[in-house]
Amino acid sequence: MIYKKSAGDRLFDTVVYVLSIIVIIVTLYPLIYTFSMTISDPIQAARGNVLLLPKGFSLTALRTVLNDKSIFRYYGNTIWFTVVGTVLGIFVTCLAAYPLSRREFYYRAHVTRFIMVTMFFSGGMIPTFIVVTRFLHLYNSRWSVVLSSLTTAWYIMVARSFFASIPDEIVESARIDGASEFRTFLQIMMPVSKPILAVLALYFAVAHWNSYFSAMLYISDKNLQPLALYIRSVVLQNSMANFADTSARITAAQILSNLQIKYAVIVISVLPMMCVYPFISGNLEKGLMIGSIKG
Amino acid sequence: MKKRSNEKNRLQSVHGLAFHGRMMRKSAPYWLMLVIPLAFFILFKYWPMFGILIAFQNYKIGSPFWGAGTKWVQLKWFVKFMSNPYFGRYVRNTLILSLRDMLITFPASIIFALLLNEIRSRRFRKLTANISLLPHFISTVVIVSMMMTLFSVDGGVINTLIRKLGGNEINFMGNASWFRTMYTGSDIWQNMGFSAVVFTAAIAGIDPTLYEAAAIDGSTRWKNVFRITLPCILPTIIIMWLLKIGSVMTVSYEKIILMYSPATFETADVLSTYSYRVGINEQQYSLSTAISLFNSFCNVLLIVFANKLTRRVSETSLW
Repeated sequence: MIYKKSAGDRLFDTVVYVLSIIVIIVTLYPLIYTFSMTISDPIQAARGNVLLLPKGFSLTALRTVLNDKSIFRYYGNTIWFTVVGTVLGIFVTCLAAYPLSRREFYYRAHVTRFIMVTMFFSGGMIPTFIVVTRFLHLYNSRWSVVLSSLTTAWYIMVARSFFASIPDEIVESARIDGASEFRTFLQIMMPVSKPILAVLALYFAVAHWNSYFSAMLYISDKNLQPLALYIRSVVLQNSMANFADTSARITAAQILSNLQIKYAVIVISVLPMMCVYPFISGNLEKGLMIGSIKG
Repeated sequence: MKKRSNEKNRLQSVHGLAFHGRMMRKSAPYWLMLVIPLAFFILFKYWPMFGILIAFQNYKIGSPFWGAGTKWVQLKWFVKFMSNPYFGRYVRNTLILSLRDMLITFPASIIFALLLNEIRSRRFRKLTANISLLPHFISTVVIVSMMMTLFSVDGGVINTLIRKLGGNEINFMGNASWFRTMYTGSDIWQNMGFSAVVFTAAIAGIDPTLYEAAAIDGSTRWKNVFRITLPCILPTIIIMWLLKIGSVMTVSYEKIILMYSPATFETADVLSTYSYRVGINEQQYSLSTAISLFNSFCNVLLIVFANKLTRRVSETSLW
């Protein structure tokens, strides 16, 4: 693009940059501030002196939160939900998507329609709740969360259109060599479908890591609940009992404010995502496009 | 045999039992693969759909969706719900929040995509795009938690700043008149970058010669935005708009349930949150199901209406 650098253009550029910088600031400020509050000196934090960068340095807040050993249990549960949900989710999605992408499968249109219906109609919260807890007896079982959100019609359609775009010759040559349908699926299809597997993995992992609602409905046993419900109880429902008499808090002479504990809980829960993000962000946009337009 | 009027009829008559038997045998491996996925959809999707019937029953906890003891009550629960004094409030709040989603949140992502496109430095553009995507990967619970703490009246940084600048503290989270702003604002913060990806991709597909021709004709960049970029991505905008219409009246109640409090019910309480409270907290399963069925019904009505509207102004529509 060739432009004369006129005064108008320069003004335009300035406006663009100013707006972009505002977007960046607004996006990052809450995250940076939350982090700063967590590692700031409790006195400075309580006085409201922290505005952007940490004032002083103290790990009291983090130590107080980590002193409550139950956070590790919640963390473990979230990891369990994420890993099991992602692995099973990808498996079941591909298991459904592959037959629906094969033209030799005579009934694929019928099955596709059967699955698509669930994109537009759903039983809603209560009937699903009754089925999961009463009829399938999954109340207070980790499987309730994983199985009830195993996959979605949308993911299956995305994976199907990816499989359909793979040249038929690859499948046919495998068949001529005498491979069964399952072998073709596992040994030929799966290896060439790494991009879609990566996209599905990202979608499933993020969804399971962040989900709280089905766990809130189906799991009341605190030993099985995910981290999100822990954050909810500490930050949103103000249950500070876990931190009331920990030694770290007493040595800080009770000045450690509840607010700072809340910030520490938030930081501990988003830290893994923040650590992974720089590595995935490079390929993110490409991956999101595979998953969004086709279908 | 008589002459068949159309292809479909012919196919149906030819495809008798023997044909399907052969086809079923041929597709056996495919059916075997589909066993688990289909079991999932039947158990967790179709079975609950069947359960919608309880909206028309006096459903007793522990009984099946349809059995010997089922007591049918016609529209009793719908009548009960519509005579609720807060009925208008639930409908109004649901409508306003989903309209704000379409008229504020949705255009924001388009504007952001246009903005990204105008950043000249490639590296800065990538940086801005990547940073804006980040909040999408933060969970709703954490986002609401951050809002609650940052905007809190005792010690929240926003109120600290307001006080330092000489203003009066505002109870952002506990004030009904602020709820909608907080809801839409956090939605934009979380999803603007992510929703813009589709539009960015559409912009990348625009023929660069258009801009070159415009430059020769002496067009300014500001004019290019409206005369080239925007018209070129219009089809994408309409498709995304139609996809959005499909979910009108479905507000993200998962977020509202975390955000609201009785103090903000005036503007925050929507059909789905009310249905949640009735169903999960009060265990009135039939009433709760009737409320969500009513919600879906409004949804369908609005989709039909919006589709008519779209068809009048553009060539693309849902049907």
